[in-house]
Amino acid sequence: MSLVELRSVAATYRRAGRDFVALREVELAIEAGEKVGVVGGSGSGKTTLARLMLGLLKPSAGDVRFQGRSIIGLPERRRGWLRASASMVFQDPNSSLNPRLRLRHIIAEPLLSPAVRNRSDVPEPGQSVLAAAMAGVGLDVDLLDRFPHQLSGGQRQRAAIARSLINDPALLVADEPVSALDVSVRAQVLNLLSDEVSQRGLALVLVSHDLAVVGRLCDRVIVIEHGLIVEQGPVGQVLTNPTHPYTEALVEATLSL
Amino acid sequence: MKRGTLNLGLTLIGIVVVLAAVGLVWTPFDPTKITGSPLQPPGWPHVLGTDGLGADVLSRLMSGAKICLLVGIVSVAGAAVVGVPIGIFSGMTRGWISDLPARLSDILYGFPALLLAILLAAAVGGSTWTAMIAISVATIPAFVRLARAATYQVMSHGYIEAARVSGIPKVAIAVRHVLPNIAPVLGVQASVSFGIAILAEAGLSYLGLGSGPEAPTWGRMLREAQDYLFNAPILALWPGLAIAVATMGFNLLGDGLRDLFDPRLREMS
Repeated sequence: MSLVELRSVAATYRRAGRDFVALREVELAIEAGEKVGVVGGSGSGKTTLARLMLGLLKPSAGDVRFQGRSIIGLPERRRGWLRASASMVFQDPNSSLNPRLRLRHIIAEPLLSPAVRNRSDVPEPGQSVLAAAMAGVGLDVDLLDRFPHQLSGGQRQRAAIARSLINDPALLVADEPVSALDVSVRAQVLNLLSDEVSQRGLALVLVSHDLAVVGRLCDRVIVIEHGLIVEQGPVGQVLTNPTHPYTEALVEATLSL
Repeated sequence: MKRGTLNLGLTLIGIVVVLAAVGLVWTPFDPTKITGSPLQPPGWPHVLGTDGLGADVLSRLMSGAKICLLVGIVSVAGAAVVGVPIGIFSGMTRGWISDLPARLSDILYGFPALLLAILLAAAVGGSTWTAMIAISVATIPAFVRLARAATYQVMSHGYIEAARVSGIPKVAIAVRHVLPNIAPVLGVQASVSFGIAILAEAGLSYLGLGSGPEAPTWGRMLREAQDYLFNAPILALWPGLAIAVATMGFNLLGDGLRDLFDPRLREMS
């Protein structure tokens, strides 16, 4: 049984009275502990794919399964097992942290979810748990009482990563986690993600338009163009020997940089 | 400049609050009793003079401030308590269930407070409560529409999706994430609505649809002064000035708060 399965999934948006197809006929399986990169240009459907995996979007066709159970058509109160075992790191830490909450309340939030509180292996959101979460992402415990605007961009994204890991998930979806950060802190945040994912043995879905980032963190890569998976395989193979012209263009673009 | 607006608003409101607070425990004379000869000009012991029956104008003005603030607080709080949750719910959902409260608010907008008060007064009789309920009901749509629009904006932020991914229930998302982030704009709306409520209550009292003769409101004082407009025009000045000060105070406070909370204006300064 795969951790995540997408079976013949399609996604359609309605924009300005017209249907816009974001994904079509996607077949995908992600195993526990696997690190999968999803690459493609802007508007290719990679973020839609990530949001579908977490039940944030409803597919227009097909089925999405998490740990063998379909998440489609279920009301939110019956998705407890998904909410307790999957997390997400967003692209923009300015937007993903509530500006009116202190860091301690932001980071502890996943532990307040009814789904997570039903799990016996998850601790109460006390000071020691928060301190360990902060230490895990290289943040000083004194920052717990700060508001997001009192932190640097890199610190904010580290805090977002701490929040996503505090409930010890089985799946972490990271949507362009470093693209909004300064070049100087990108490597630090990527190293942090890589270390945490490896140590915890959790599955990672890394959405990026940057093949170099995916090559550094992932075992397998999926290339999406216009909502279709045009190529997938082990990172080394796809990056060194691409078979689809779109992948070739992406690799060329990466090398020319 | 924007701090000046805020401070001026707070000062004017402060005058009304002090007048009402002192009026709660002490007035120079009993505001409902005849304590002097009619139409005395300002002097001693009646600092602002007496009205057409001989009641002390300052005492009635102080008593009116109390009613004015009570009407403002009750009607705006009532409208916010009903309108804000409906607006947030509407902003957090999609489809016809989201549109329904907005359309109902549009219909309610068509009924001005005055018309509602006349209907209510016809049904249960004119009183302070009639005025408060009418003003409150007429103010609800403003809160529904504002809370809905502000919630839409907040819902587009990543922290809402982060909460959804974590499995935080919708009610908790509304209380923990949406409400604190829309509170500043609601505060501005409350302040502006407060000014409108005071003006509406004065208007309703002026028309005899608000408080009874035993409660000396500013609107009622203005109506009574109308009969002596040519022999004692100063009688109309005091309640008119009080209404203007209170209304202007809350409007300026609303403007000041809006400027203070608007990040674009803050960056321009």
